[in-house]
Amino acid sequence: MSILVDGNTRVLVHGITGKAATFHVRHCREYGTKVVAGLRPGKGGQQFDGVIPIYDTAREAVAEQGANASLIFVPAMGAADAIMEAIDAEIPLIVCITEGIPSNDMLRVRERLLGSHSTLLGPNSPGVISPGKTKLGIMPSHIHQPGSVGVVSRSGTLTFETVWQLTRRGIGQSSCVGIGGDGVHGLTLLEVVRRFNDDPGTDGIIMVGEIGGEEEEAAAEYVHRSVKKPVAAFIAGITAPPGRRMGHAGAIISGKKSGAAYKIAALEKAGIAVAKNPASIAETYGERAGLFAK
Amino acid sequence: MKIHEYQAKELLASFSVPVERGVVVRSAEEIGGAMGKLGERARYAVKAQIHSGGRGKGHFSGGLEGGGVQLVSSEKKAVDLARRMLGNRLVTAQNGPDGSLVTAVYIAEVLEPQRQFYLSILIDRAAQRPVVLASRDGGVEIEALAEEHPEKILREHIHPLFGPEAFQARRIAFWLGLKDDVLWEDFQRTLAGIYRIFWEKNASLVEINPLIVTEEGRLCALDAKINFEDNGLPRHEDIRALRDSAQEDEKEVRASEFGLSYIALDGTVGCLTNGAGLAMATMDMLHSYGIRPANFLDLGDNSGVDAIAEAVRILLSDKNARCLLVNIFGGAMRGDLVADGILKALDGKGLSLPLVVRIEGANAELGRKTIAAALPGTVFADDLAAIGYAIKNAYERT
Repeated sequence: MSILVDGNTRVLVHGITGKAATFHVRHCREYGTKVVAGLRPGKGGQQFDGVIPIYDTAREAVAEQGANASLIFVPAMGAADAIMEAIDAEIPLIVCITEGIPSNDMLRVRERLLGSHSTLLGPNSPGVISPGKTKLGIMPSHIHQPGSVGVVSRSGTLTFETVWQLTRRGIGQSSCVGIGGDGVHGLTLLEVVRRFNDDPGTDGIIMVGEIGGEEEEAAAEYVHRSVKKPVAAFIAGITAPPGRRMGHAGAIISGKKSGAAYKIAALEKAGIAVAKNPASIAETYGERAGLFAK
Repeated sequence: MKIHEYQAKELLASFSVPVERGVVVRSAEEIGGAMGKLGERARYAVKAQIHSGGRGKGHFSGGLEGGGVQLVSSEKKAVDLARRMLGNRLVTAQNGPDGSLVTAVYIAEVLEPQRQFYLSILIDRAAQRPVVLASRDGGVEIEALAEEHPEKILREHIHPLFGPEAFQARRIAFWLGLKDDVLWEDFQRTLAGIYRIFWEKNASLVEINPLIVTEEGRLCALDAKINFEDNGLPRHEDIRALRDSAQEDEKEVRASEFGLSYIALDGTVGCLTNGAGLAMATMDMLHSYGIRPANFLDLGDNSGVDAIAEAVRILLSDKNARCLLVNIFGGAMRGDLVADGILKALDGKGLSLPLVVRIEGANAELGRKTIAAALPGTVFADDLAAIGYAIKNAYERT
């Protein structure tokens, strides 16, 4: 099993004709992802790679192709509008890859999400993959292996790093989810951890957090209360200087609580195994899950 | 992006927030005319403009007595002080041993605060809503107050689609003890103004500290800080024009022109990495080996060969660098592009520093081959742990 996406996911790609989108959509299709439609206002009626119909509006793509997930590559200044169009078309899952969306745009999106039929992943997300089934995102395919560990992260490349460590040790993944590096965004660490906890195909969870915000603490509290599955974690940025934005819009230490040491303490208090070094994330999980004792 | 106090006050005034009378001077020649505009006063506040807090308690590196904010009792003294502040460097607890270049001085009337408040607006990430913070303890550092006396701060969440409602403005005003009609009107204008700057200009923080009640019984923003979200800058030409690059690290300015996230640090290993998480994790890993990174660098997803080459040039221009580390996990970024960027920066010349390379993900093998062919001394590591060993070895040889 898996969370969020599987073989039944039918994808509408917003901004499908862009350079990055073209590159990644081709890789998704090679992986087996059902990309059923593209969206590019003004290019409706054309086709992507000669096979995927392009539409002017999301509603048309849903009506004609039964799209049930959006994958958004629209440039930053128009990306919030693309998310809102997907919400309006009642698309259940919206994955936004775009980086650099102004926070105020995302505050409007958040209000539109309330009471809607949609769940948002991102923005500034690497996407989500359920290995062996489908991928909606920019992650390299070959590093994944089907299995039963759920991976959730605030960072793209650090998700890849974690997954690659797992695969090289023969530990497969149920789903790998990047919630994105922005301060204002959709699914939180806690919400993804909860989905993994409820997924019978996921036996254990790895959570990769970083400085800034309080999502790690909230997830840790939930783990402490409700999760019986083994959970390991890593927090990036223990050496980050305070007050500086570390690449991600959301990765900034502002006050004691958003620093790595505070988060690590909260995680350990919740009984989560925290990797001391980013090179040992899979190792730490394996030990916690008892995978190496057999 | 940060701006100066005088720029923040000009912006506040243009959004109907009351500020004190003041003039800005950027060169000695401007001072005379500016003082004429300000008019004769009994006392003057002379404030060095740099992008750092703690200016009042700072000191000048160029042998000028007193801090970055001084009160003087004559026009002649104000002129003389402003002239000596300009071009000097002001060192504070926040901006490092070299301090910051004073490119402008703000000269203002001196007001006697009867009461002092704190007022700001920013995004509350936990609530995913804007929040107004207010306190009757103006002039203090809000982070310290939040930790020691959270009960002294009022937090009022604002609905982003509607803005602050009148009842919310009343709640904050009553809480601050502003019951007088004139003060209430001043407060409404102030709150509306800072919210509009936050919302319309994509500010990440609008902070008035202190907001004071003057002897005349009016509100006035005595000091102000406004930061803007980088993601919003493409929409605001007027805000971009406020940037003062002299306040920023020269390498960071160069990097930002190429769309790179670069932060100069004080270590000795130059790091070429992609993705914020991996870049931070790489720094953390080096530290666990007792080695300090010279920088944080996130190439981002859309950097082309030219941007990557510029990143390498920036790393090589750091005189403290003893080693170069490339740690790339390609997804959107491709390994071959990184290799091409490195070679472009070297421009046919060899590399004088030891180079450790780990490239994984999209087009990784092509990238590794390109580097191996052009730079035979390169040490390749095939995972994060191997990088640690390789860097430690390379480092000990230098």
